[in-house]
Amino acid sequence: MLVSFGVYLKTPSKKKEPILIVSDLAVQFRIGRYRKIEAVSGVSLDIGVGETLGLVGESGCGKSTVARSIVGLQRPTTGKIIFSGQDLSQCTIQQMKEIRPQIQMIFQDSVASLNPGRKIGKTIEEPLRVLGLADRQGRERLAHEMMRAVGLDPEQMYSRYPFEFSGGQCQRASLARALILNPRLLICDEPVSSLDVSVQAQILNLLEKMKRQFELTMLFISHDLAVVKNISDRVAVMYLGKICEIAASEELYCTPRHPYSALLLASIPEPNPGQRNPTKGTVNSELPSPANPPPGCRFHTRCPNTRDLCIEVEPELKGVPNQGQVACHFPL
Amino acid sequence: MMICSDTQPILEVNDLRALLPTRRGMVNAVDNISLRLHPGRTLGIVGESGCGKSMLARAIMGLLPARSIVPSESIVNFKGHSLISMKKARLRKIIGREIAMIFQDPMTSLNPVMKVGQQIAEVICFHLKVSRKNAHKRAVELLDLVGIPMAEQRANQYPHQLSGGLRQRVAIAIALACEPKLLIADEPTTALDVTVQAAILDLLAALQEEKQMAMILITHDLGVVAGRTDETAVMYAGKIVEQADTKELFHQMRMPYTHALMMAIPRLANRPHTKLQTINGQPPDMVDLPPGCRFASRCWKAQPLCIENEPSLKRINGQGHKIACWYPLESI
Repeated sequence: MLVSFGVYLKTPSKKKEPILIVSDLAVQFRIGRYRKIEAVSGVSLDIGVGETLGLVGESGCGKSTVARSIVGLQRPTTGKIIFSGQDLSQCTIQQMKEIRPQIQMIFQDSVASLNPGRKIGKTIEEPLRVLGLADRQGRERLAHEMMRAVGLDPEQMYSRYPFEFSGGQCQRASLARALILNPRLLICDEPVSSLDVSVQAQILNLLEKMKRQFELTMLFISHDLAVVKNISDRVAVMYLGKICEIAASEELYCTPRHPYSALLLASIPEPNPGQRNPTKGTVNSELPSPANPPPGCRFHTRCPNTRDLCIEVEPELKGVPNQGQVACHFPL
Repeated sequence: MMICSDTQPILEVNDLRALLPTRRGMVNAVDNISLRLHPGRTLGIVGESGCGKSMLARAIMGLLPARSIVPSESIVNFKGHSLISMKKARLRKIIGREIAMIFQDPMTSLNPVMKVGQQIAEVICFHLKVSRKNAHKRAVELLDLVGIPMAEQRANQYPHQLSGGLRQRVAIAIALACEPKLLIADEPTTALDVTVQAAILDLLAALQEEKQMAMILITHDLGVVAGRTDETAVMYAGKIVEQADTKELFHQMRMPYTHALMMAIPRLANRPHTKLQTINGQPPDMVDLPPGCRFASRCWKAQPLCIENEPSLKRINGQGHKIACWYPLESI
């Protein structure tokens, strides 16, 4: 089976064997009766064991759809998702039952992702109950352990309801729920976007700690590049359903090759009043509609160095010497 | 953009307090706040959610929730007139014309069943007493001014047909319709993507320079204030805890809270997997405030004095750097 993976292994890498391979994933949604929108079109990526892959992009670029497809909340239109050697679309229900607990996810709106009518402790131990993995005492003991690990006091918090919790505490609880099954892959879909800076820092540190403690592999989705850089080993940048650049996080931030990555980096407001850099280059800050993506390179409507070729031919994701991959005819 | 300090401030706020009714009693959401703002200057107000920054803006505008109390000692003077004691009818003539506000979520601040051009024209008709036709013409000009392409067609669209960035531009066009002297922007870019955020902030800065407006920019993002404001005030639990010229503030943060907030931000310059500094604990319960410094329970420099006595906002140097702290950090 590894032969078909050859393409991915060819990229110069120091990374280990991939735990997850997404190849040519496309997801279409119907809008209205006849129109279709391709939220994700031809995304390929892989995550090595123990690696954190960051996925960044503006809202509506399809990053959450990629995440939802991986955990099975969204059926891909075409493409393969291979988790530790098994193609998820070919798996029987029995096999899926074994794979599902290994892939867990936490969501952006942690308050909404917890059942408001159920005690936090019960919510945390629910995955065990669903899978029938432990008896009542065992579940409660594990939930207590897990709550302690994520920094919630089980004595006080176990029988409370989500409305009594702050946003940061809710995110801790949903992390506990995700980790109680001892997953191998954790998908974090904008886990800190709705939190304040000080709480955000706590959750990011907690994620790093949990990653070490539970030997996790992570896919970390965010629109905030600074956050992604701080947590990821490699970063993939998405634009309108396509990946335009994948590179090691330090490299991407020092020398972005795709103009879109460069634009994103230049837009970040850095807390340093000395460097007041008005964003230059792009006249048009508007994202084109994914229902009607521009021909050729999808970024050409906003790109500062568009040429004729960009409008006609869509660039492919290609390896760059000494660096990751970039989908651009004229990389920086 | 230096304006000498002997010109009259356009806005003068003295000892402003606002008590909001909650189920558990009155909350002192804005506590003894004093500010001065000169024409053409920008004041940034930073703080985490729940620190009272939006309520401060609303208290200035007189837009507090029903049954809130603003004690009579509070002074809000706009061009020498007190806004607090002003009759409703007169206030209506000032708000929208001389003082305008932009809100965080443009979807909820715009009327969903009214064409955007009409929404702008409405303001112009009301305040400037011009004919509908002229008002519409002016509305199209304004849409063009805020950088909306094809302004003529866009004016005939409804908010749901526009993207988030365009909607916020419409909200800015409404705010600028009567060329206000003071613009209060309450988290104008929080709901937007970074690239759009940069474009909107650039637009606000350009318009401000052109029209010599004074602006209050409220945000939770220290990065946003760093590049765009002349002066910055940091709020914590309803009070201003540090206020200084923006460059001075970022050069030396003297109040431990400001410093901690800054250190919690994930920076682009950090190496991947850098541990972020966090602030322990939670902000105090606003219904039941501690007697001393409100940050004392989370502060690493807290002494018995901090827990017993509340520090007042005091000037610490000739540059107008003010802090409310008993044991400030060393100056650099």
